[in-house]
Amino acid sequence: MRILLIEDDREAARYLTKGLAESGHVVDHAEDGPRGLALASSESYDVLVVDRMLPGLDGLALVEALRRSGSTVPALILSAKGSVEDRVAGLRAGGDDYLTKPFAFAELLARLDALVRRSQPRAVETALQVADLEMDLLARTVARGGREIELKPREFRILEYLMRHAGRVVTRTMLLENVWDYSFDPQTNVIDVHISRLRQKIDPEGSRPLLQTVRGAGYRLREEP
Amino acid sequence: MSAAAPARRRPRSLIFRFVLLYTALFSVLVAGVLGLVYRATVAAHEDEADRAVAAELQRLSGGLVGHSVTEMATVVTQTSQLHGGVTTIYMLATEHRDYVAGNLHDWPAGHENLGGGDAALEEFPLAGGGADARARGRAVALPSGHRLLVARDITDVHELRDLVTRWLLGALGVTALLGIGGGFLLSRRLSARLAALGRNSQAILEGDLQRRMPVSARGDEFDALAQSLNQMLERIEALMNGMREVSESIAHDMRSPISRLRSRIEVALMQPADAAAAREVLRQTVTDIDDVLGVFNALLTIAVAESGAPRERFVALDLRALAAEVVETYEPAAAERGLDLTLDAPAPVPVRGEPHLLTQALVNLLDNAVKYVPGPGNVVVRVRATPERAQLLVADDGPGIPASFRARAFERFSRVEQSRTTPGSGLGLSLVRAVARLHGGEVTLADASPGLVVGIELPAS
Repeated sequence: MRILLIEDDREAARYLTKGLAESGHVVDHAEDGPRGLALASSESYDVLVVDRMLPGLDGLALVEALRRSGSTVPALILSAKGSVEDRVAGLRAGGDDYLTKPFAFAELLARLDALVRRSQPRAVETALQVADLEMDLLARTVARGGREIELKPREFRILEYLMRHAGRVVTRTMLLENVWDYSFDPQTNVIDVHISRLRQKIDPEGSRPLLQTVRGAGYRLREEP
Repeated sequence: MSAAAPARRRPRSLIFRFVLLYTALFSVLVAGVLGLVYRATVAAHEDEADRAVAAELQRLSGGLVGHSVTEMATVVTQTSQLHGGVTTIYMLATEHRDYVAGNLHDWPAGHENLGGGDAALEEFPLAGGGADARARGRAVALPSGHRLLVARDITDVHELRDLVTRWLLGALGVTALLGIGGGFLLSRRLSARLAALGRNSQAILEGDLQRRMPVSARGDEFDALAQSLNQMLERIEALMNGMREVSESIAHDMRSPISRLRSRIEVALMQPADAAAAREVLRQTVTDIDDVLGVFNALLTIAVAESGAPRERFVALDLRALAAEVVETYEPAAAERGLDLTLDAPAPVPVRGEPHLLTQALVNLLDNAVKYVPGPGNVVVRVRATPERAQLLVADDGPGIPASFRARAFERFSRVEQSRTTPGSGLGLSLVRAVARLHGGEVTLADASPGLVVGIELPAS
């Protein structure tokens, strides 16, 4: 996909551009707010990566200006400020996601992927399906190969999030933020245990496993090719 | 520093200006009151004299009309003997102001008309009296061409007036003098005490951080101000010491993992290139850096909680619901380690608080329980409400914390000696305490024999 990176730290911009390019993306880079806003308004991008502290025009003001002009291109805000208020301010300004520096590169990739996917227009969904795993969002039931699976509310929400991002990597932090609303990492591997319980339920013995662990990144729900 | 320069200019005394203004207002008031006093004494006296003269003149002149000069002289002479005495003066004179009868022998020089009929009374010096002798009177022309003068000796009134005026002006002067003088002294005194506060502030500004404001034994407003400034300085000093301790602890705690990182990378660089080994070094490096970042994040969260800023985000919440969520999150992880994690909360417990921080505090307590309680074991999260307090207890039947260590358990980076080998930052309980205090509560450690009970007490909402 085509990404616009607006970041004034040249060293950080260099490695981000390199990493994103190596992951198969096309990256344009702007070094300050005004140039970034000009590029974002004139060119067509799939997603913006905007540093919060920028010379000329700060990241939040940039996203706000863009939203006022009617642009809906998804924007991920990068910031060294990680408190709850900072996140809220970032999202309120029109950012679609907020990532605190420093971050794992895999985290950034997974979030950009999720943002681009989310921004594609689709009808209101009442059901989700991955292979023979089906989720009825209205009746709040899940079935694998026609056999109904009992899930606890939390497991249901984890699975719903994974199914909405089917085929893509979902990191632990994304699950913590979106399913638990935690903005911190517990020291205990709570997520892993919830996932392994969920896996036992949706991938019973003998079935083709759908819920995979992606080493060093997170999880992915997809049919093995 | 340039911004400080105008402030150092000696300020015009605010107090002195206030006192001047007040003195001016007060003087106007005093002048008003004295004016009333003047009217009530001197002016009333004069009015009374004026009325008497006017009445006497009318009566007498009416009686004289149509009589001969001799008859008129007799009446005036008799009247002056009868009513004259000391205070009332009569004179009957010719057209040319020459004496005919009466107890005044010379027409007052320079006052030929003397009131000229209906005009107001005139004052004139009284010949024959003392230097200050004065009278107030009026003359009328009789149909015969003679002049009749009736006057009142107002020497006494005049003296009274002079006296009253002198006293009144004197009182006004004293008022102004006392006001201005007092104001000057007052402003000098207040300025001196303010200057003492200013000097000490300046000294503190210039680096003498131990300096305190002078407090006298009088216990007045200035002492109250100095005391609260001193309390503020104490608090700032305590916070600065806290900051210094934290930075020293951070420097100390960060140095070892970062040194470890450095030597590992250095050793890797010395060895011949081996892609697999280099990757392993990098992988370990990333893990170590994540640990360092974890410590930084924990310290930041503690600092935010201690700053009190999250109080602005306090909302009404149910502690039971919050605990239930966290217990539900931790139950699988605890079960995997052979621990039975249960919630004991019979009723909702309303509190006001910051949900993210309260959640994180409970998460830290459960992290500890999961980490330090060997399975099989039990962990109970208990939520209770009394009319005054909301209570959140985490009780386990693990090894507990030695009594000797409990006091230090909340300090940053403090860790039970035996646990040094388990991963952990020694910041978990520090955050729990910071969050409890942020909510106006406290956290306690107790022996559950066996095991540990960590209790968070918060004010009930």
